[in-house]
Amino acid sequence: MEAFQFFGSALFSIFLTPKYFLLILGFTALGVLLGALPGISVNMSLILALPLTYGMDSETAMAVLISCYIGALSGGLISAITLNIPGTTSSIATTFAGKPMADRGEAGRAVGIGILTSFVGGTFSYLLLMFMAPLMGAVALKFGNWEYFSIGIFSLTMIISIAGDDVWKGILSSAIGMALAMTGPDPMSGILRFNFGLRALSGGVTTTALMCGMFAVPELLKLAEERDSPQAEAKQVEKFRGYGISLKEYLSHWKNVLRSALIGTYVGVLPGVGASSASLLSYMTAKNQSKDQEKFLTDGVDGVIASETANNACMGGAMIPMLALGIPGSGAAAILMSALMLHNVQCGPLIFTKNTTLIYFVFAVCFVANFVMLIVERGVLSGYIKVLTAPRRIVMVFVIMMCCIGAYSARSNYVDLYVFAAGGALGYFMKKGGVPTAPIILGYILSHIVERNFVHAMQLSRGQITAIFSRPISVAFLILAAISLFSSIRKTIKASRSRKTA
Amino acid sequence: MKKFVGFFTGFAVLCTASGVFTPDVVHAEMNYPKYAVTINGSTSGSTVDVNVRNFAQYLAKNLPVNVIVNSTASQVDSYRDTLNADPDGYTMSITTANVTLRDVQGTTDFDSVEDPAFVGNIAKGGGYWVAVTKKFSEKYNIKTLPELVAYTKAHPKELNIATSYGTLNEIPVTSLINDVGIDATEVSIGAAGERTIAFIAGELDIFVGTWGSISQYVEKGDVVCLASYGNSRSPFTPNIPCTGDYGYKIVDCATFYTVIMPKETPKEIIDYMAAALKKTVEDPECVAKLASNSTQAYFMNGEDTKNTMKNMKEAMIAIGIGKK
Amino acid sequence: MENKFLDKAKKDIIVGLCSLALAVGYYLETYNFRQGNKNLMIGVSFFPRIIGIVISICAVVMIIRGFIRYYHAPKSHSTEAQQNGKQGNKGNMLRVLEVLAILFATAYAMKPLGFVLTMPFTMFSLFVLLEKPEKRKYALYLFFSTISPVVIFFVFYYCFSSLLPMGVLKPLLSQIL
Repeated sequence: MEAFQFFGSALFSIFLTPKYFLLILGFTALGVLLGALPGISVNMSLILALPLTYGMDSETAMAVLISCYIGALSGGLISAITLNIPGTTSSIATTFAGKPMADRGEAGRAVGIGILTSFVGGTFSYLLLMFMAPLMGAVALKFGNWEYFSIGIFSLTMIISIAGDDVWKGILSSAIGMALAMTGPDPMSGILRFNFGLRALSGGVTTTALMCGMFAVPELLKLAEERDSPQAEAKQVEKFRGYGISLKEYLSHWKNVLRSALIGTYVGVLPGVGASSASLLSYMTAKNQSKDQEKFLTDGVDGVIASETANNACMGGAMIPMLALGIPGSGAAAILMSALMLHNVQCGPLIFTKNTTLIYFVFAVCFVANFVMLIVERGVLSGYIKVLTAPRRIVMVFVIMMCCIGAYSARSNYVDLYVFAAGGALGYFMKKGGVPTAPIILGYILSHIVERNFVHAMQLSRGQITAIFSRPISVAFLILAAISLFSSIRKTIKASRSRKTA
Repeated sequence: MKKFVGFFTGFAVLCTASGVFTPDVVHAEMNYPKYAVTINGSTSGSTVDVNVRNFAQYLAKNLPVNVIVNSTASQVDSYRDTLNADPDGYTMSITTANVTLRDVQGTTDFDSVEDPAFVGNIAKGGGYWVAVTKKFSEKYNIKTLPELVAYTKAHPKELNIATSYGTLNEIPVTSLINDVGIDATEVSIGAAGERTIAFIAGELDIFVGTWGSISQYVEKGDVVCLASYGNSRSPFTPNIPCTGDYGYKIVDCATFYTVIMPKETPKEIIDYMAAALKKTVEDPECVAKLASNSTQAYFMNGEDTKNTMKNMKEAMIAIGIGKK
Repeated sequence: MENKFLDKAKKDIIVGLCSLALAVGYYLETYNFRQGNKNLMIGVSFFPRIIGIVISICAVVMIIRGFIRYYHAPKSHSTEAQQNGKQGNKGNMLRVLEVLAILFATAYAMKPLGFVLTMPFTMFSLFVLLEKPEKRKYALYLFFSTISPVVIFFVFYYCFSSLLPMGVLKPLLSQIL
């Protein structure tokens, strides 16, 4: 009852104080804009907004940062679908989910569905955040290094199945991604790996530079290659109303929505796993659960719902360990936590008693910003769709400029521009060789989770690898990983046989 | 194609020439600073990052330009980025002796003491605390540090103690093992957050870390703090005994926040910035802000800072940090 | 159809050989790593070596599979149309390499020249390369190439306090900022 009272008064204060509402509106829109730009990740959007909050009080600062975060997290789907370039790492799964719809000229409808389902996923996780944060924080404590390692292995086996019918190419691609992740300092000892004695390479490869390179540059090179062909002209985009889906049709996907929201929230609760893993796991689960997998891949609606519901649900989940335990659940949550600390608010188990007003204000901001995102993003969608009607070669040049900025700005390092270009070349020639490139980025992201947690787990178990089998959650994920890998291999064999008989 | 190659070659020559012949802004005029100064900090969300951002807000009041804080992947990256930057006074790093420790370990590609120009020191970190969970304390009937030491001596290597190779945390843990006599197995866990989770979840027996990581758990009663690490009690926890109270001789490892610039930066610019840093450290609002994050505002000039870091490096070598 | 099968076989072999070379180099480089802390259960080269082995296995499988497909694929002589197609592909690949060269040149130029001078070159070159010669609008490309980077540079500085590289224009820009 008290929770409702605090929440209600926080909501009133937002609507009755024009400053708060206008800031939420403005920064959600800014977040959407930044998230939609390839090269500007969610974390970078927050880092760009953080200095603006220095002179503000804690409530105002939280309103600004959370709005920016919610906008950016959702905004990533716009470029993922319209340009086939993820705006953020959490939208990688959305690129292959939305592509079939974009190819059919339904890009606008795909984005509309993505916006609606982002709103639903976010709302679900904020409700859990508000009512069950301390309980769910306890869940995070049940997951140790072996559990994270097992989740990482399971996610890797899922990535392999994205490769399509060829499991070997999927493994190769994700292994290359993991290989790239192992450049730079070793996570345990800091010893430099694969820097070849060059100071410039001592920092390793960044996610933003690699992701922009592997997604944006091959598109550019493809345009250059196909310059003289008729396909190089702009695609037609079908008109649509509302969010591109009726309420009845959306509700018919309720199982997918609920499952994805739960996956997103629970993965978000686990520190260090991240929204990209959440959206990927959700997408793959939806694909495997689908009665008609062929239709799932060609239609795209289920894929977009799975990916976008999960990645927005992750936001609320990531805030649970941040608030309840004082441990950020994601890079963006770490920035939010540092912003709170800048305003003398210490996160941890006592935050609900010591800073009750602020906490419920944060919850209220989450709900309001989520709703504002639903309206604002739909409002700007028409403008973004116009981008599709412009010649793609013009649009891509501006995209490359933004990607260069994103690649450089991640850590103000010129080497990242070379990584951007080299990553693009690698992505292009791999595509030419029939090797999928999405698993590279996903392998890169998951490599950190797998290696770091395995090494830490072995430290805690004093070198006893069999300790993993004494942990039921780890065993469960390893079994799921084995099932996933087995089904990928079976699919490869089946596809090979059907090619022989054809 | 020929036109392209010609254009491209000309462009490449232009780039190389401009890189070679870029005018040295600094010697042309001492009109500094003219635009925003960038501080390379640490990982977003880390204690160092928060302190640097807190400090930067107040530093901006004592400079005629903005101060931009750049989060980096690590303090070593921050240091390296500054060493590679132009020596024009617009890029500096604020880092801790974590970089020196990495240097001692041999995992950096620079000398942390000889390669930079030290501008000064702005703060002293909050130290370390030794803690166990309430469950552990009740199970083994351990309420003080000497009781913990006695138990580990009676049961060598049975318990594990959290450390983090490559971070300053390694120094107090090594000293607790070598000098205080805690006979436990070192387990390197990594970032503070991961250590805290593993500790609260009961996977780690003995926690050694910052007050900020465990303060709320101590207040709630889930964690029992046995001692603060140091020769005198921490001003942030005056009621908790320190290792010095029990007569233990430990290696002092205060977390100094040092400010560096590229080595070739002119002395006038370094002196200017040092004066701005000193003024900021003396600002009562800045002092209070840093204290809220268990950090003490503390100024040293460039030369004293360099000597301090040099001594710290020698102490780390003596304790055997790089030789494990 | 037959040529598609053959092409796939050739691609498998090429990708396999490149991956094998990468994997061997990657594995051998791990021997140059400095040794880590003796108390660590897992050395710094453990995971990189596993990855090197995994890539090698995949590479070998792809090479073997490629050769098997190659020998089983029905061979057909290429027609004149296919030969002309190959010539066209050569021209296209040249353009691809030019675009890549521009991107690498951008990376090289960014430090000495800065964002405001490098990006116009990059954007203008890309606009020109991506458009058919008869449809090019040089004046429009020049306009966008020069204005956009300048606007972006100042937006990033004044709105987000993020300073993009200034390069050789530092004396001029420092007067303005």
